[in-house]
Amino acid sequence: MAANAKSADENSACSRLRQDAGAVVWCSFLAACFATMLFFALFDPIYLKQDDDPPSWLADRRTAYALGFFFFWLMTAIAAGLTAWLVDTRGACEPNRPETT
Amino acid sequence: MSKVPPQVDLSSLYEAQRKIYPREVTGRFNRLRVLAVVALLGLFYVTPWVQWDGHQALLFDLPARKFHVFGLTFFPQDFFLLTWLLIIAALSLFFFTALAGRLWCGYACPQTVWTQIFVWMERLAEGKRQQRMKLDKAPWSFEKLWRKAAKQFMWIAFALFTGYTFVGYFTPIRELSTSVATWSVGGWEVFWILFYGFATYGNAGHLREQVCKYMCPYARFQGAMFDRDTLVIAYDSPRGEPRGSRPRNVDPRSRNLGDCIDCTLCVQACPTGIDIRKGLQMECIACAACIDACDSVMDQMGYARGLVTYTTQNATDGKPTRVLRTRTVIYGALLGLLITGFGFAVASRELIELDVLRDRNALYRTLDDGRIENVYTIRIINKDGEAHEMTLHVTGLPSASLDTDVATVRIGAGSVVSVPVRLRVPAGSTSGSVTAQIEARAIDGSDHIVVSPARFIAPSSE
Repeated sequence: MAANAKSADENSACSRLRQDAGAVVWCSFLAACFATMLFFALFDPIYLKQDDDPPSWLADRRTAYALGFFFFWLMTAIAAGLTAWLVDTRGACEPNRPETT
Repeated sequence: MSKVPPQVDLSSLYEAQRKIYPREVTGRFNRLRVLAVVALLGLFYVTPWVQWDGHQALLFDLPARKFHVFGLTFFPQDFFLLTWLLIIAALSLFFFTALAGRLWCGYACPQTVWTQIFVWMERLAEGKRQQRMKLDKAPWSFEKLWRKAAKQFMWIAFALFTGYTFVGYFTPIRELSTSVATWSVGGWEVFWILFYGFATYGNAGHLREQVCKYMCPYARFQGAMFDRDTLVIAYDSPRGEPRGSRPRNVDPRSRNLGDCIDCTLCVQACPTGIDIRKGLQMECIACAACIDACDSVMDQMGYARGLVTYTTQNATDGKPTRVLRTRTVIYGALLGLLITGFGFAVASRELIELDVLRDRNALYRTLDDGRIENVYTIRIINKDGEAHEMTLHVTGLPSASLDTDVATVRIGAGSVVSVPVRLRVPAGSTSGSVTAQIEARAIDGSDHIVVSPARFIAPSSE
């Protein structure tokens, strides 16, 4: 009986982790798409060729777009992941929080 | 002493995910849904193959920074039009949600459409709902292996084809098909085909309704657009209750029963696994599978259809349903305004644009004869469907003369041409920073004239 309850708990915790991960990945993906569109509409990576630094391979538009997208996705995922984690762990820090009316 | 509030373990509020085996249904809304799937997927897979004026009709040529949309060519400078289009799309979603509920979710959302195709393939390989459930419970056998393998094969093949088609919107699909056939696809193309294919496989094959329940922002806020006149799917609880099983030819009233025979077909048919008889729920994507399931049962029982049906809150309460109301009128008017404005903006946009980029290496140069020279790169963008022949001039700085390597500039349809340009003034005629205008004039009979300011820098006189 008790073992059953525990495994159900673990199941739901695991399920919840998956749901949260899904939300984080998906929302950060959407935000990264918007950021990539906006950024590369204003900035043409080909102009990087005019300088020696940063590296010239980044001046290939396909590479720059793809890396730019994944850079934005990484950044938005970090923000979304940290937010999810902070919101999730907030209540556990103060179990004796006085009741508000 | 402060009272200690009862501890709630939030994790226990999350139900463990169970696999949903949606039951196959037939009926009018299923036909409508299949029609939508065929039309929308057909559109997605066929569109990149359509040619227009010798080029791919719809091609987002990212490496060249050009978007071909039938006869029109758009450049990154037209980005505001894309933003405008997205606002129109969002407002349309609001408008149709207020009017008819989650029409988008049930019939048009890519998540729904691709999930239906993947469920159809699953059914092809593993059989109907009961067979699928039995197969999943059964120990591994040769039959289970080949059925699962057949499903995976169809899923992966279709997902890869989807990824390939998606990339075909960004790389000319005819060239892509040749390079796929000869195994010479570029690295990034391969990567994006796999990436998009994997996303399709994961979303439509495995995640399915979980995307709607846990990941979709629209599912969370669509309720805010609902009012008492919005079309929703609802169970007619006064008619159906008390529910219970009964033999076919018995008058339910004689047994003190409502019309619901509690066959749970509406629950089995639901792709998100809810019971519509509990009322409208956030998980409901309004696919109407439960309506079809219930209607077929009502037909068998000889009862009237519509125990589960499309209705509105007002209709349920016996009040008239209004289509025209403040909310829909405002959404509709705004939408009409935005669409008209968009059409106007596209039709009246400047077809030729001129950018002036200063040479960054030197502020100015003094020539042997004492004249002062500034160097620029002029970019002329031709969004028109035909080529233009132009000459360059300088105005706004009376003493200045303009020098280029070419007398006239030819800009092909939908292309960009860069021309190095030198502006020169006699020594001492100007000092410091002044602004001149560089002008491109069409000499091919069209009356295009475009002007852009250019900062001219001369040594300051002290």
